[in-house]
Amino acid sequence: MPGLDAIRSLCLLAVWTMFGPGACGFTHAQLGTPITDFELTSLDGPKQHLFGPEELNAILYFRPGQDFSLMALQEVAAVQKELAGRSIYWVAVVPGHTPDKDAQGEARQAGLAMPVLMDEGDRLYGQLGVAQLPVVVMIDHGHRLAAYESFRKVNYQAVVRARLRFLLKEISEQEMAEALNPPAATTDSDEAAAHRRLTLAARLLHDGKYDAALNSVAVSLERNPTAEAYLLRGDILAAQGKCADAAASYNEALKLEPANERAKAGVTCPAKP
Amino acid sequence: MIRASQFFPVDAPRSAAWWQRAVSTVASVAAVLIVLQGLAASAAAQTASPHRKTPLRTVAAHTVVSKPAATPASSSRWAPVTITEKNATSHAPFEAGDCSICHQNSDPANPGPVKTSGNDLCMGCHDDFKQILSRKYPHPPSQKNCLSCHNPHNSNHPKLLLEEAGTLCTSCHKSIHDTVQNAKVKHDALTNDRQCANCHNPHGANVEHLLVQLPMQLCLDCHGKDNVLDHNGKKLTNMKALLAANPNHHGPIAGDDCSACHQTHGGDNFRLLTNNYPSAFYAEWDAKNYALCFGCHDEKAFTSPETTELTQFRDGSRNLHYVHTNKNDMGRTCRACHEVHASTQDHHIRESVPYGSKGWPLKINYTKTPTGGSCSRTCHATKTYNNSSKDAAAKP
Repeated sequence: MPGLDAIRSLCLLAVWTMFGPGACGFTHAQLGTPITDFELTSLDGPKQHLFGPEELNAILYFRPGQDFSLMALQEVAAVQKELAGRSIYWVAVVPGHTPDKDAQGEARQAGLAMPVLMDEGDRLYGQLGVAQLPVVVMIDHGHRLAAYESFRKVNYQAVVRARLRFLLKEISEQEMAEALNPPAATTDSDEAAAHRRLTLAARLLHDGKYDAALNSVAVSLERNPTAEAYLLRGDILAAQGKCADAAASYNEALKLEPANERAKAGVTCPAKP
Repeated sequence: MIRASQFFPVDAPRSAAWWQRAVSTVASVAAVLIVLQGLAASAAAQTASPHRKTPLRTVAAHTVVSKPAATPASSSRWAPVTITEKNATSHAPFEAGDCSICHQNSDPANPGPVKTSGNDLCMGCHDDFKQILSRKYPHPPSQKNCLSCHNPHNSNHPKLLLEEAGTLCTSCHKSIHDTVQNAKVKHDALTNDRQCANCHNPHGANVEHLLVQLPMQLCLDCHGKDNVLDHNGKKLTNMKALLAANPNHHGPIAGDDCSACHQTHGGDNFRLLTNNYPSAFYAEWDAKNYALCFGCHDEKAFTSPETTELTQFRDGSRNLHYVHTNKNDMGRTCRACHEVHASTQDHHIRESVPYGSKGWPLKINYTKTPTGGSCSRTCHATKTYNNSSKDAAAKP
C-alpha cells in the first residue's frame, strides 16, 4: 500500500537521523533509496540474483587482499553464524576486477557461508555510491536501502548485529542505540568506593576496632555522604559510648532521608554489646 | 586454588610502623640478607617478566629474617612491601591492621589462611566488580584472580598493582611492548598518567579490546583540548573543535574509529598513521604512497582513466581523480583538495590550500552542482564537471 510505504520510508528516515552514521562528505545512497535487483556472476559459476525472498538482504561488499576486508570477513562470518535461522539472505560481492580465486578463498577461510558475486562493470558499486570498502549494506524486503555500515576496526560485529536485529524487529531502538554507543566502562566511582569503605567500617565495628571503623566511615562520607554512612558512624560512636555524637550523626542521616526508619527511631546508646 | 601460604608464605603481615622498628633493630643482619634475597628474587622475577623496567620491590625485612632461604620469590609476590614511592597505595584493611577482614585470625603474627578462596574474598567488599567483570568484554586474568595484578596488602604503585601499570600489562602483552619500544613515532598516552589504563579498562569493558569507550570518544578526551603537544612538543589540533566546526566528517570519524588511520600504540609514520600517506602537496604517482587511503578507497578509482561508476568526480566518463593524481612529476596528492578529518563542504573539499613559502591560503572556490561541480580561479582557471553525462572532457 502506497500509504504504508510512505510511512515506512518516513520511519526509515527518522531512524537514520537518530542512529545513522554522522554526516559524511562522501555520501553513499540515502537510506530508503530503491536498489535495483540484477543478476551477477557467482564465483561458483552460475549467475545469481542479488536479492533473495527473505525479509532482509545483507550484502558484504569487500576487496580481496585488503586488510580491512579480511577483518570484516571474519566479523561478518561470526554475525552470520550467530543469526543463523533468521530471515536474512546473505551475499558477498567483490569488485568486477577481482581475481576469482582470491575472493573465494578468503571468504571460505573466514567461514562465510554465502555466495560470492562479482560486480561486473561496478554496477552495484555505482548504484550504492560506495566510496569505502568493506561495507555491509542491508536492503529491506521492498528492495530499499535500510542500513549502510562501513567497516570499523572496533565493535564492527556488534554494530552489524545490532543493525540487523533492529531491522528484524528483534531489538528496540534503545537497544540498538546502546549497541552503537556502548556506555563508558568506568571503574571505581565515588559511590562504589564509598560503599566499600562502609563495608569495611561495619566489619571493623564488628571486630571492636572503633577508631579504624570511624576512619573508614569518614572516608566514605567524604566520597559519598549518605544516610547509611551517617547511621553507621552513629553506631560506632554509640559503641564508644559517645552518645551525644552518635545522636548528632543520626540527625544528619535524618536530614538526608527524613523517611528513614532507623534514623527516625534514633540511636541506642550506649550500644548493646 | 589460592592458599593462605601464597599470601603469607613465611610470616605474618604487620603494620608499616612495626616493620620500621624491626628494620632498625635488626638492621645489620637484615641488610645482608636483604641483598641476598633481593638478588634471588631479581633473578626469578626477571625470568617471569623479561620486560620489567622498574626496580624490583625491596623484600620486606621480616621475610628475610624469618626464612630467607626457604622463601621462593614467586610466593612472596603478594607479601607486604616496603613503601618507597610517593604513588604507593595500601589496602584499607591492611592499613587498619585488621587481618581478620580477610584472614581467619586477627593476630598479625599468625593471620592464618584467608577466609574464602579466589575472587570471592575480594568481592565481599568490592561487590561492584561483579558487574564490572560481567561486562561484554571481560579481561580473563581479572576474572580468574584479582591477584594476577594486585597485591592485597600494599604496593609502591597506584591501585595496589604488582608493578608499574605499563610493565605489568606488557609482561603478558609482549607484542605491545615491542611496538611501543620500537616505534619511531611515540604516543605519549601510553607512558603518561595511568598508562595503558588511560584507554583500556583492565577489568572489563563494553567495547572490544577493553577500550573504556569507542575510539574517537577516548581520543577526544585528550585531543579535544587546546594546547595538547605531541611527543616532540609540537602543538596538536583541537579535534573536538575542528569536528564541531566542520560537519562533514570522514567515514572513519563518522564511525568513531580513529584507529582506522592512526596507530594508537606507536608507529613509524608521521602522525602515527597506519600506512603511507604523502605529506606534501605534490607527489609522483605511486599507489604505494597512498596505502593509507587505499586501505578503504578502491585504488581502481584513481588508476582508471575512464569510469562511469567508480567516482562522481568525473566529467562524463573522464575520471578527474585520475587526471589530478596520476602524473609522473607533480601529481596532486589527496591533501591538495581534501580535508582528511572533516570539512564544511561536501566530499571533504577544502576551502583553501596553502600556497607559497608562507602558506598563504589560496581559495579553491569549489561549487557543488546537482550534476557535479566547479573550481574557479584557483590552481587553474575555472573548470566545471558534469557526472551525469557520458561525454568526456572538462569544460573551461
